[in-house]
Amino acid sequence: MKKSLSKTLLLALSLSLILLLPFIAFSDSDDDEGEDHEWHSNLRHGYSKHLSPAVDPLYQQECGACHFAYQAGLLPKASWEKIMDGLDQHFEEDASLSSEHASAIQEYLYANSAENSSARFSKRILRSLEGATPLRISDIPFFKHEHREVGTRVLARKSIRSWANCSACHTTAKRGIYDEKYIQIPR
Amino acid sequence: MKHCLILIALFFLTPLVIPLFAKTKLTPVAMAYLNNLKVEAKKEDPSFQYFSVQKGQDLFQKEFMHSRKKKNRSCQTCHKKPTSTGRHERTGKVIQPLAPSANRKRFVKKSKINKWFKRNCKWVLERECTAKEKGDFLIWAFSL
Ligand code: HEC
Ligand code: HEC
Ligand code: HEC
Repeated sequence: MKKSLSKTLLLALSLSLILLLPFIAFSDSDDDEGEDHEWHSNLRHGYSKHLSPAVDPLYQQECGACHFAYQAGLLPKASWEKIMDGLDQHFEEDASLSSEHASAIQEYLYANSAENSSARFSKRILRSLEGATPLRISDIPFFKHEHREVGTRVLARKSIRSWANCSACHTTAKRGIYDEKYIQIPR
Repeated sequence: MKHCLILIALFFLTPLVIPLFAKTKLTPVAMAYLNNLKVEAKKEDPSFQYFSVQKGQDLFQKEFMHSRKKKNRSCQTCHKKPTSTGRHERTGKVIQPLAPSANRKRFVKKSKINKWFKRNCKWVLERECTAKEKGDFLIWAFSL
């Protein structure tokens, strides 16, 4: 009797876990469905194919209000330091934070910066920077090279506006996936 | 003493007066926020009586020439039509609707309301908004 009860419990538990798994893994998904298999090929050759998503809720809330919340692995630590030191004059905007929020976000950014990321793109970003520490991801030579075919007229479209708007073209940017096959340049 | 009585009267009266304007029910946070603004507005101008939906709409639509950018800016520049999505003028990011009738997550956190009034009023008017302006804006948003 007792045994069958615990058995049912175990069954129910594992069932709910299986059912919940997709929600846990992709809880912030709001676009695209087709690329789940991407995650299986994620860890190859000792580095990962994709950037770890920026799941920190405070970071999402504060640094994702005016633009896409960039993954920490897109810039070296020294760039994030410069950005966090100048939030009151952030690209001519006031992005200042309370000191508790600022230090929590710093912690997230520094711990996951390009140096600490195992993503293929982070390595390529660092290599192409040769020690430079720009404020913009869009100023990284690797970035410029990858985007050399996108014209300024395309960028100026109302639906895009700026290089800062990664997710306008990269439909899976939120998950750290920038593969060519998920790019859809809006009209 | 007199001050105290006025405050208490205000506290009990506002819930009765404000809902008359509101299409969407005010959130408890918005209610408390408006009560505070009333007190502030009275300090700014002793002849202050009510917030005005019309003035709120005027503020939302009014264009202000930016002294450095030499370009007109308004709340509409980013929030567009308040009952549908907007778009950040510089970054292109989609902004969820501003009107609580179209977005239940609006005006539910005091620190958030404070922060964005400060940032956005500076962006558009190159100064902070007065309590009167903020109150007008809020009751207008809830009237939509
Ligand atoms: C008040 C609005 C606002 C907030 C809040 C904000 N930013 Fe920005 N950010 C901007 C604007 C505007 C730009 C410049 C966009 C452009 O010129 O294309 C920008 C640009 C950037 C860029 C460079 C993008 C590029 O072109 O490569 C980074 C990196 C960045 N922000 C990081 C952050 C971080 C980290 C935070 C949180 C601490 C933050 N931002 C919060 C408005 C904001
Ligand atoms: C106007 C649309 C557009 C915007 C905005 C944009 N990208 Fe791209 N991105 C592209 C295109 C097009 C390519 C090139 C795809 C190709 O030919 O391989 C690309 C390539 C890339 C690649 C290389 C992909 C690969 O598999 O080699 C990365 C990484 C990338 N983008 C990151 C970003 C980030 C980060 C941002 C925001 C800071 C951004 N992009 C903004 C359109 C865009
Ligand atoms: C440069 C773009 C921009 C302009 C112009 C702008 N806003 Fe905003 N506003 C934002 C962004 C971004 C947010 C935060 C993201 C969100 O809540 O969707 C926001 C949020 C707000 C909020 C917070 C609402 C809440 O849910 O608590 C208020 C209040 C607000 N704006 C008022 C104004 C007023 C008043 C004006 C005009 C004086 C204005 N905004 C102009 C971009 C703008």
